[in-house]
Amino acid sequence: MSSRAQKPLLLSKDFSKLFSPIRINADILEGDKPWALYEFASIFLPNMGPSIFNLLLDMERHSQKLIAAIKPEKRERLINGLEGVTVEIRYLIKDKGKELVALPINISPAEVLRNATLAKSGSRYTEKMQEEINQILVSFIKKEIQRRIKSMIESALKTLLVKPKMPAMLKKLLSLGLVDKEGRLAEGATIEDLILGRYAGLFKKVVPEELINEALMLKETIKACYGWEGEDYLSTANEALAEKGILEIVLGEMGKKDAR
Amino acid sequence: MINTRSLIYVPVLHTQKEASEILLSLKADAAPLSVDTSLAEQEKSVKEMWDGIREKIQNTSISCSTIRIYQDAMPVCGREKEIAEKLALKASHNHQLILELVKNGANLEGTEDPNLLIEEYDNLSQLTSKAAVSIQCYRDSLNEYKEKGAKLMKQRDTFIAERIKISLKEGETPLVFMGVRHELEKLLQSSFVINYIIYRLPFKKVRDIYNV
Repeated sequence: MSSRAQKPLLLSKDFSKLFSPIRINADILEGDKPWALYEFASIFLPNMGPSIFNLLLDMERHSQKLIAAIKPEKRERLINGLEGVTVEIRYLIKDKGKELVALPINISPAEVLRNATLAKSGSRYTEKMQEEINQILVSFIKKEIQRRIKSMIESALKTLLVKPKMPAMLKKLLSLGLVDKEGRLAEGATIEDLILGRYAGLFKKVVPEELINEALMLKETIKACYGWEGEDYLSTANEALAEKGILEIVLGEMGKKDAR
Repeated sequence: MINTRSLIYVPVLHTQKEASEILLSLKADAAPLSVDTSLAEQEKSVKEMWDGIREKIQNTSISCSTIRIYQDAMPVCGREKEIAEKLALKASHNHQLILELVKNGANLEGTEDPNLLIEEYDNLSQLTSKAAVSIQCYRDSLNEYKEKGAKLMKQRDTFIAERIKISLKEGETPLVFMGVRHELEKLLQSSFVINYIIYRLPFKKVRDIYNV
């Protein structure tokens, strides 16, 4: 299974096992802030991500050139001398003093030089880090979708709460404390809770069918866009069949296939 | 100097319904593997998805005549429009939308290296031939394909990125339709501000969010 189909690591609370150093505190991503922050970053810091990657890549590439010019004995001494030394760069976004997004980049020069000695091709940074950056963006998008759907449901609930005949499901949720007297959903309600979980019954009763379809499609779209491989054998088989079919038509049309 | 030109990126998904129509149009024995989801529902979703993408492209207010289209699996061969027409006839919503845009003045550009597409076709043929044998056989083959495919996909993406940079003219906006397996954006983000059009995100106007 592709890592893209796994639960985003960045949203877990245990960051210690992360390979890349980017962290996001999803718990405090609330309200309009994630999207506003995303927009701000898109407009004012469009190249922030690539710049950091380039910095790391340049460092690795440069170190490979340098290390090639040094005699093996001196190289070994240098690596040993740098053992345990770390260079730390911290990039932080805070919300009222609380850390919202953190990019604590920890560089171990000895490790970088050792990699350069082994002439490892490519970089350990690019794909994994880019993957996680993508997951951060997905988390922003998910949060925004959740906020909007939640807000629509809460406004529908407010209307229902003032009606003389309250739906039984709403009474039940009130008694369980999952909805308060002002129509607010319990803190931390997720898209899954709303569509498929503890609020699903209410969701179907009080929310227009169109919105349910919208929510389900959003969920599927995210799943499809960011975890296409998943474990769904039939989907991947059909995806491959569709691609093959398209290529068959394309190659047939340009006469290449028959000419081979 | 940082180039701040915008590029519109549309991730393309294939569904069982599309696979079915494309394959059935080729030959009768190539029917896709069936799943429980109703085809009618899928057809509705696919149509809605492409309607949504069409609307979002229209909302960008970019004049069609300044759009240059780059399409997944569209070879550089001088017959790009004919290929799009043929695929549009085979029920590909993606290509139907491309033809609409071309009719309104957009330019369709040959996007991919034909030789790499032939290689991809061969790999996919090997993979799909295993799908009919057994799930385990397919899974083994899928792992093999992923290894070969990743390298090939990088070559394809490198070619496409260069193609976009070379063929794009002054004042034009690239509109890129790419399958979700591509990672082209990684190669383009240093030259373009990439604006994603993803179906059904609850944005009122795409330009409000994507700054296009």
